[in-house]
Amino acid sequence: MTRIKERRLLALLGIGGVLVLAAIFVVLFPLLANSYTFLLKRGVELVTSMDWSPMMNQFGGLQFILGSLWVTFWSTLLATPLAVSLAVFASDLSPRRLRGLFGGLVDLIAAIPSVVYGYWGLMIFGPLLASTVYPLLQSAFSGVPLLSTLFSTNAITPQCFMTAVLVLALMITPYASAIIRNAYEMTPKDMIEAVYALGGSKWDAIKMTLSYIKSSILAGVIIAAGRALGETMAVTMLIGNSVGPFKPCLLCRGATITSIVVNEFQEAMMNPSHSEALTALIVILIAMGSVLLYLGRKISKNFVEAEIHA
Amino acid sequence: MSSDIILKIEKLKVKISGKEILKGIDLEVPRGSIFAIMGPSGSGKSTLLRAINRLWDLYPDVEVEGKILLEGRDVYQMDPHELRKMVGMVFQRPNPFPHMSIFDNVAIGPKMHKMVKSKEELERLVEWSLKRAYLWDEVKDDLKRKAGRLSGGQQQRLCIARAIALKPKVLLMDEPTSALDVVSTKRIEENIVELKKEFTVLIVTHNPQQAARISDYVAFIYDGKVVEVGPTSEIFTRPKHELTEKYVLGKV
Amino acid sequence: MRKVHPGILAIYLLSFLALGLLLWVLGAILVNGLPVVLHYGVQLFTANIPPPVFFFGPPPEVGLAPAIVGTLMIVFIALLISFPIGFLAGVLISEFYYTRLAKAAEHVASLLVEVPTIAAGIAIYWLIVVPTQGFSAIAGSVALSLIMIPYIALYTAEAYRKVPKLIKEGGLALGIPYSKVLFKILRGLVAPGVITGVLIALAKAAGEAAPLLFTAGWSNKVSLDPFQPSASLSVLIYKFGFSSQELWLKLSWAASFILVFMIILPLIIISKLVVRKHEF
Repeated sequence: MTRIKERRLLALLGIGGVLVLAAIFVVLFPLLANSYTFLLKRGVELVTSMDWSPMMNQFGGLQFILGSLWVTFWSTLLATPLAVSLAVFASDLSPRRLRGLFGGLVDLIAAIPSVVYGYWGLMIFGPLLASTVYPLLQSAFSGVPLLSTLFSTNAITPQCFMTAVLVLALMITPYASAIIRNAYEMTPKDMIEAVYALGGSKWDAIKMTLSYIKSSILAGVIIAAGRALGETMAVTMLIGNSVGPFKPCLLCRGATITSIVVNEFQEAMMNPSHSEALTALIVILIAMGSVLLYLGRKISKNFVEAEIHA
Repeated sequence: MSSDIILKIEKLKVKISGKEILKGIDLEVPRGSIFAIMGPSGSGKSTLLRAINRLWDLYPDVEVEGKILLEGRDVYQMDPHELRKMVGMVFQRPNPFPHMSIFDNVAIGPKMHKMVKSKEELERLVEWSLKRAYLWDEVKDDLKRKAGRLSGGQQQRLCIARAIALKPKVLLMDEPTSALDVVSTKRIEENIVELKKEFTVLIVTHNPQQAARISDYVAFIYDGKVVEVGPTSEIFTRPKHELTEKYVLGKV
Repeated sequence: MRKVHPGILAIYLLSFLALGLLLWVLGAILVNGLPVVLHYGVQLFTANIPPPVFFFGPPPEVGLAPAIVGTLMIVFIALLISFPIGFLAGVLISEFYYTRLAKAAEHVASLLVEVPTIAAGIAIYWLIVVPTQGFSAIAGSVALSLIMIPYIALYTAEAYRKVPKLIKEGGLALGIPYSKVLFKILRGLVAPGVITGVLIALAKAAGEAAPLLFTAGWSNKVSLDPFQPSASLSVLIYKFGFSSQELWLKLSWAASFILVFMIILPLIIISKLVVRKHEF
């Protein structure tokens, strides 16, 4: 009799717990239910072919998978130094009284909606780059092996992988930065004092701290990569939306899983195979994200902590 | 010992995460006394207190065995909320509800247990409790102040007031001065001696001098067992056990 | 002159680059959006979305009301769905952390944060839009609630976890039932943390377009019926952003301004103030 009241409390809270568990099924179940027959029948085509023509009943989606990975790779690569810099700046280098403000500004980067970044990229950032930086890049690397393919294209456009990558890099930076900043601020002070006691400079202290929190940096970078992988609106608005075969090129137009879904799902509602193919691509996207999170857990011992913190 | 025993503990064993902390405790606490439980840290003193008001109920990895009788009733057969109303507790560190006013901190218990019928009665009870805790004079002009803004010593006296507002039979005190400075400690010790008039006080302390200063009876606990128990004057002047002697002389 | 290490210099440069880009984005929204808002004034908040100029000539009234009302309504209903779930789960995660359900719920909540929001949209399309044979605001709300639940749950758990055990025990030792300790006595202590979680979840949800595209649909007219399709600011920015109509492009900027400066930023600023006030 004594524990009855508490059992009632646990039952009430349990409803919330069960519904949270249900939430993940609400996401996964409809996606799997509406794609597994397609995946069984045409899954191989979807992940190996690059012929995408729903009208012709061709559903080769490898270029979208590669496009997602390509965009994720480059934006994460560019976001990493930004995130580390912002973390060091906001927790160590900026004037003490302004630290809260700078930290808040970094968080603000994450608060602006994806679709707003997309619109800014579409109207302002992309056109500006296409008329200034991109032609310079193209001519600068035209003779260089390997790099020339990255920047070779028939026609420079404001909407291309590069524009999507650059905007995405900015968008995912705060996620990595928040985790790195948290670890940075938790570094034992006496370790830093030891660096100074040995005659080290500020830079030595920063280097020491960064090497001490390597694992957290990695966790932050992986989480940021996960965000890049699933990022949708900005990418769709900036990537150029070409369904042609994937080329490892930055100034080319392209597509990702998320962009093809946003672009085609409306019309796909009329064509079951088409909508199932797009749903299957979403399932593949979630699988890719899960692999990333799994690797994160394997590689970084601080990962789970960082996940919750992010 | 007096024949009027308010609290009786029989063969009490407590396991935390499978580790036996209390290994069979037998104690009898006489009504209207100050009963001190002393022993080095880690000996299981606090564990014992938390078994009496069943705070361990909330922790799934704690197992309690044995019997605790309050006024002859087995506390583990009682409603825990009724039990905790009859057994007040003051903790090691002051733990008022920091976001509530001084008044509300004291009033919340009586209100939740529906002990008062009118606002006036509640106000009288709060005043009574704060006076018993020697806090009234310092706070009477500003009862709306947040408890979190009081000093550490004041916070602890507020916690005493909060506990006695429920008019408990027994007051458990878990090293109530360990987080306080000397002056605050002295005030609280004087307070405890005063409280004896109305309550039975069971106080845990790791400081034998404190036990000697304020208690009528003392039990010396070591490694989860009662080494020696008896009237304070006897234990401190003629300890029977070598370990007790070492402890009261500060050698353990 | 003191020599600054090139590494430190690089940190400064990269930081200012990132913050500069942020200010550029905010500035662009302000410069392009505010004039539109000021030009149309109150009308923008009350009138329906104009049809394309191309077909019908200049519209008599230009407004964003359907999108503004739609965003507010969809997000509000999403809050009604996600708050009870997230709050209860959060308390469970904090107070009964040792139960298997709490551990699983915490795990799933941190997993849900990582799920791409477009996935929630497509899932709800299949789950609700297809069976009900139509877009509806409430379908959009369900999709957004999937995004809000984990934030509310994790922030609530954090708020309860931050309350020292000793204070919870102080309440229990007075013989007050656990549920009353959690929901009544600690209310004032956990409220700032829980409210912060709610505000952050609202700010996230208000800006999401991907979950709404194929669930809430679109409507040119103000509709307060949650079972009818509804426009939203975020979807409008996307839809009109690709248009060749000068007016629609302007409306996209105005919607960006309203979304960022009148909805999301105030939510974020209030959430920061709530936390600050809480520290005593």
